[in-house]
Amino acid sequence: MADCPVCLAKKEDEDTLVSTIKTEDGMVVVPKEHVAILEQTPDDVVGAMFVKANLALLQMFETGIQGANLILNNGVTAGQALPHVALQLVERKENDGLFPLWQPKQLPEDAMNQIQEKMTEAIQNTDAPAEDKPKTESKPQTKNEEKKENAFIRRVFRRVP
Amino acid sequence: MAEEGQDCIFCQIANGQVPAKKVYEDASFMAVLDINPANPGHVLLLPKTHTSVYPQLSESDSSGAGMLCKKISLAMIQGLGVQGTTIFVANGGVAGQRAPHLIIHVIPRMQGDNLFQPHPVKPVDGMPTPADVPEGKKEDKGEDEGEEEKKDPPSDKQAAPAKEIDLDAIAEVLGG
Repeated sequence: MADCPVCLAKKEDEDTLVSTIKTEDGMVVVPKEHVAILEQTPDDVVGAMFVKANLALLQMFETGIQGANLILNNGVTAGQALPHVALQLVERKENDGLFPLWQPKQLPEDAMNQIQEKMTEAIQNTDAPAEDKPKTESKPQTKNEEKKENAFIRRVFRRVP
Repeated sequence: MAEEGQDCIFCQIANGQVPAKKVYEDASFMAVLDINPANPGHVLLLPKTHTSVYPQLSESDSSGAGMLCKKISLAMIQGLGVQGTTIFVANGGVAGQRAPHLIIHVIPRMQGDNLFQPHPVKPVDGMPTPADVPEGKKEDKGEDEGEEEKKDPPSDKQAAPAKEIDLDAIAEVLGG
């Protein structure tokens, strides 16, 4: 997309489906075609992002880094700060203070069971539509579709401070 | 691998030898609920083959893990009604890894949960700033967003293929 900073940023590496951008503490792997959130990203592109992250992490570890995080914040509420899906690879050092681990919560057994039931069903339900989507999304965009997508992206990001 | 993972509790969970709250399973992965979740619905995606860190995962399993994360994320939005998701992997003790087995966390996110401070992306070659881009729809222009949104309905009346209705519904959720 013409006005997306990620689309405009200088790429370190570009494959057919994904690109990487070198950052001060690692890199980000991004879909080459503009997509705002994970749910919009075709399965083959998501797969390629995670393969790229795997190979890039391997290279980072070969240079002797001590550790690294892989992070994808999906949606404004999750802290997504860019209007483009981005898988972050962040090099870690002893006591660098990044990403202190969350406080674990305790849930009653019946609440856990309810969530298990809902999630199991919801995961099964993702099967049918997920198969159809990539084909339609990989079509070249018409102007109307682009306009529609812009409105869609505005809605996704309206709540970012 | 079996030898290596023999004492690994996560290998035993991934292979169904230790009971867990399973939400999904295929030939390569087991997805279970974290019993000490960051947020309710927190899912741990575990490779069945003993793997310590993400770069050890095979290419096909890496690809499979990505697609599974997408599936689980969508299920959280549709099934639990959460407003966002975070995928998180710690590789190495300094990165916060505590288990000897690779765990891919898929965490449902809620407004104000303060689980993670967003880590800014700082490209070495610089990131084009909102000022560099022609149309103001960047994340730090909340007021403009509100105005633009009011203009949305007319464009919404135009052709809306089925898949976009679907995406709009999800966008509503992710946008809060």
